[in-house]
Amino acid sequence: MTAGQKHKQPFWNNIKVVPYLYILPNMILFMTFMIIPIFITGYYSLQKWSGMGSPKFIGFDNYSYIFQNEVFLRTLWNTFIFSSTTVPILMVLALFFAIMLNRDMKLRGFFRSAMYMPSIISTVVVGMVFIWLFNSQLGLINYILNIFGFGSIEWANNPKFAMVMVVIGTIWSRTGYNMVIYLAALQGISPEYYEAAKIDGAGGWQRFRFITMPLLNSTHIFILITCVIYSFRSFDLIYVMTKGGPLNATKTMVVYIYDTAFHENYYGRASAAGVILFLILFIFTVIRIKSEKEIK
Amino acid sequence: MDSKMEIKQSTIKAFSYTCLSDCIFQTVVYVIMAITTFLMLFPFYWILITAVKPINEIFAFPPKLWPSSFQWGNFVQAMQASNFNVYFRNSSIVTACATTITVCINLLAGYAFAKYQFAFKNFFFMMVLSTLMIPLQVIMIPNFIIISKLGLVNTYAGLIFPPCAEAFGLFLSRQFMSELPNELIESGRIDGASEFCIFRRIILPNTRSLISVLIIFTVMWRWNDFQWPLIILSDSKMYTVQVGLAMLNGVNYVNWNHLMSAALLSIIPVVVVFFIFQKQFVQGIASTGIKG
Repeated sequence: MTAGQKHKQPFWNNIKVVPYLYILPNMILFMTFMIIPIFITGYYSLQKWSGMGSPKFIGFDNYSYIFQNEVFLRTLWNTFIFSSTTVPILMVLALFFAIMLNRDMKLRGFFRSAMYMPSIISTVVVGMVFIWLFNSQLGLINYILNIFGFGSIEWANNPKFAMVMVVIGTIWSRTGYNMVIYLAALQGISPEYYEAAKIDGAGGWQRFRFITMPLLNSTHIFILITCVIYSFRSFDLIYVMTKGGPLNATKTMVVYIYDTAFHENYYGRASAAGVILFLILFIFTVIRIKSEKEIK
Repeated sequence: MDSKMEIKQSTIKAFSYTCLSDCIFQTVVYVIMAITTFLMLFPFYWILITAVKPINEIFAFPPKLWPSSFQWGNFVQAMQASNFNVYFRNSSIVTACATTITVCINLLAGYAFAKYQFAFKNFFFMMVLSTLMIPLQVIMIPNFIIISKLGLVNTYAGLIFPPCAEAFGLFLSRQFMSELPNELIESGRIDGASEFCIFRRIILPNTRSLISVLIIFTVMWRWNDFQWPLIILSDSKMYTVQVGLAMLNGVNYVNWNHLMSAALLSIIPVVVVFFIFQKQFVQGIASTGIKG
């Protein structure tokens, strides 16, 4: 080896090149299956295309179609209902159980694991066990309703109740997950605050209202936005439990996109709906980033 | 001093009162937690009981909370009646390969973002971060078309690769690795180790806890993944467990015995992983809270 070659590194060991090599596999996958597809979705949303033949440019017709389409408008409404029921319930329950399980108590670890168990199993299984529990003829829940003197309910076939069933399933499977995030935030609050408040004579409710709640502000917003995004994108549970039925009563935007694309083969319309979904979530993300900055 | 004495005396007076209300409060807490735990665990019990009930008791109303006999053979029948052994094999292959790939590329990229300076670093990182909020439904049509153009529909590669692009693991890796001291790397360079050697011999041994969190999350997520496999699989020989379950659930005549047996078997791997790595798992969520 001569002196000149000693300083010349092979390219894979050149400090200027190495980081690009390291991020390359990740970036290729990101570009191919994340970034470029977003633009392709935008492009398809302006085309008429059934997956066969070549796409035909039709401007904003797909958008004007879906915004006049009863089913799509229904799915927007359903998504709103689904979000606005699951999110507040999830947040209140998660906070409640986080506070309960933040105290020193026997069996705390067991209670925490039990709360968390539902969130580790697949939403397909969650959907299946709930559709079985809510089964109209053989289900346990109708049996319990009967014991208390209520009639059986056709949960899965009644448009009024199908959404209730889906919401209950979602809450069962997601409370523990959000509870863990709240718990982590609670453990970050210094006990000195509470001690000081106790000396000042603040009761339990006052301590909660004036210490715990304000100190959790950023966590509230974080969980709020994550829950909203989760509710907008949750597909598995609804698909397994109701497939969006009965009479589109539980059809949310993501189910609409899936059905329109892969059952009806309207790729253009489905892409237009996808763009709308993207824009909604984009707004939520911007709100989240802004509010995080304000709190800091 | 006087005021202190006063406080002490009033504390003693209040003691019996506080003790009583504390006891009541404690009891209420335990009762609420007991009921909640019951509600949280009952569906698991119901899966098990439905799986092992004799078939005639499935169709009994009122439902029997305790079966008259345990038909463990239902599990075997369920595996034979549908191709669940094939689905389990598919899911295992996909999960194992996908986890290996995801963990490796995230560790590499996370290290590069944490410890190297390079042009467009922030641009690339922001690009990745911005994809955190993008749901699969927005990109699934182009992804499906890309995969069909590549001829990868109904293949393991088609199942494995597209979801490997995920920001969560990369974000976590960068976070963790930026906390490692720079001296580790500098000392390696002074000793004349190659860049990759530094990564492999010095960095990786110091990131064991990160690696275990990444593995656990990726295994759980890929094992439970449903929508992407649903989109690109039409050949039932390639079904993953989740798709297989959903297809069984979709038929007109549902055999609840078989369905619940298969469901129970399908959750065993994640439950086992959860109980082994519970601590890391909870820490992982708490420190990021991103994975949805």
